[in-house]
Amino acid sequence: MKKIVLLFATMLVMAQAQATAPDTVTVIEQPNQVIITETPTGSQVKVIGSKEEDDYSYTYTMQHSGNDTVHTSQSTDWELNLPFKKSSNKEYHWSIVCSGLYIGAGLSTSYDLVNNSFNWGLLHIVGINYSTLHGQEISFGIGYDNKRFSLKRPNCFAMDETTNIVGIDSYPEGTVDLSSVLSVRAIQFPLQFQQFFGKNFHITLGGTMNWNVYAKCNTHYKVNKTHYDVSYRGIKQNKLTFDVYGALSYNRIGIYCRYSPCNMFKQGFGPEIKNTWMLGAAIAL
Amino acid sequence: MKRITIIILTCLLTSIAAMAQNGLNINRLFDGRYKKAAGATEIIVTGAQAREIGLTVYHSLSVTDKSQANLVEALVVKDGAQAVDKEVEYRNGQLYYGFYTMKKSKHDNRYIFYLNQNLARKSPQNIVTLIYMEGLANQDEIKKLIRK
Repeated sequence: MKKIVLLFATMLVMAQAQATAPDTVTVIEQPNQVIITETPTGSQVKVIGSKEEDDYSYTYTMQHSGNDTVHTSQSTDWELNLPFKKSSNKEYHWSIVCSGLYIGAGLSTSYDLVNNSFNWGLLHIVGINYSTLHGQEISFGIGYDNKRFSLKRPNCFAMDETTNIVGIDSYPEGTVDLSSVLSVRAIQFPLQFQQFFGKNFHITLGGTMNWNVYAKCNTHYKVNKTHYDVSYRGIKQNKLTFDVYGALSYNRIGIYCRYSPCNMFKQGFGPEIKNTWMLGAAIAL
Repeated sequence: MKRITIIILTCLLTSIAAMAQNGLNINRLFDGRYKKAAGATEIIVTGAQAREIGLTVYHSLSVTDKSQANLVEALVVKDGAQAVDKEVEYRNGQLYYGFYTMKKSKHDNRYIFYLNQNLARKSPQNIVTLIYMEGLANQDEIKKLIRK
């Protein structure tokens, strides 16, 4: 408001102000309030309060005729906020995505062989997403998946290196700190559908084709204070397996469930490890 | 079918907004001529969305065509002469902004706002904006609404 005094000082009443320099009428330092009013016949500047005196009052009245033009000027611009303006963020049907980081563990230990399992991965390292813009999205892409299956004691993996057949063996007598794990790494190709309910909640249903590029059995145990760490490579895993999964997400954080019906080993090259369930947490789904 | 519904709805909204602006010179600008014009954006909001911000009618027009800007300014100045309260600023002999409070329409306050961003000092833009607003909102509320 105080600025207005200075601004109004620049106001020119065009009546008879020709080329003469303007005269200073008055100077009021640090006014409390400045009120400028205008009527059809004139303008008035009223100053209330000053640096020295709160009750100070000053009124300046100018009469002008119908042909006069009153100019005002101020240093700031009007920063317009236009309500209801359409967002410049356009929505597109197609987009490139990186999504679906998940980590989970085996749901059940009902198998005779597998004690527990562990699973993590990224569904879409890169994917293509199609949105209907009405709450449905379909995406496909390429991702990474890692599964680990740990055998129930006292079973452990053992491989015949001439035939590359993995069998089930028992640990030697007096073994402690034992574990035997099958690890399978896959490049996965997910195809998924998502249905949104409101802005934040959505369900996901999908399936993946897994290209199991790497598999390893690792058996670890200790006998008489001696550690044994035996790894079997070159095992014959099923190169292609298929999983189905579903997820519930709120604000892109949720839970997922994944079912793997396929045997991890090729027929005749290892024990049957299939029909596994994983349950876990997922983000950015 | 969807297209026809949208057209009918747009016509209806335009009629409601036009009725609200009855008696004003700027009404000429809201006759639909800018709906498909390049470089013009017209927004009409009535109903629940407008009520959320204390209005019954919100009608804005932004034009980038300089020849149209002169017409908009001329009509705004004409209406401004009838305003019961106004706040205006001229720059280089042209109206930079004008905030006019018009006579009430029944119970609703009526406001016209005009801004020529070509005359802005910091970041001039080739946009002239005209907003007609009607509702219970007072001057301060309207200023808060349209000022960052």
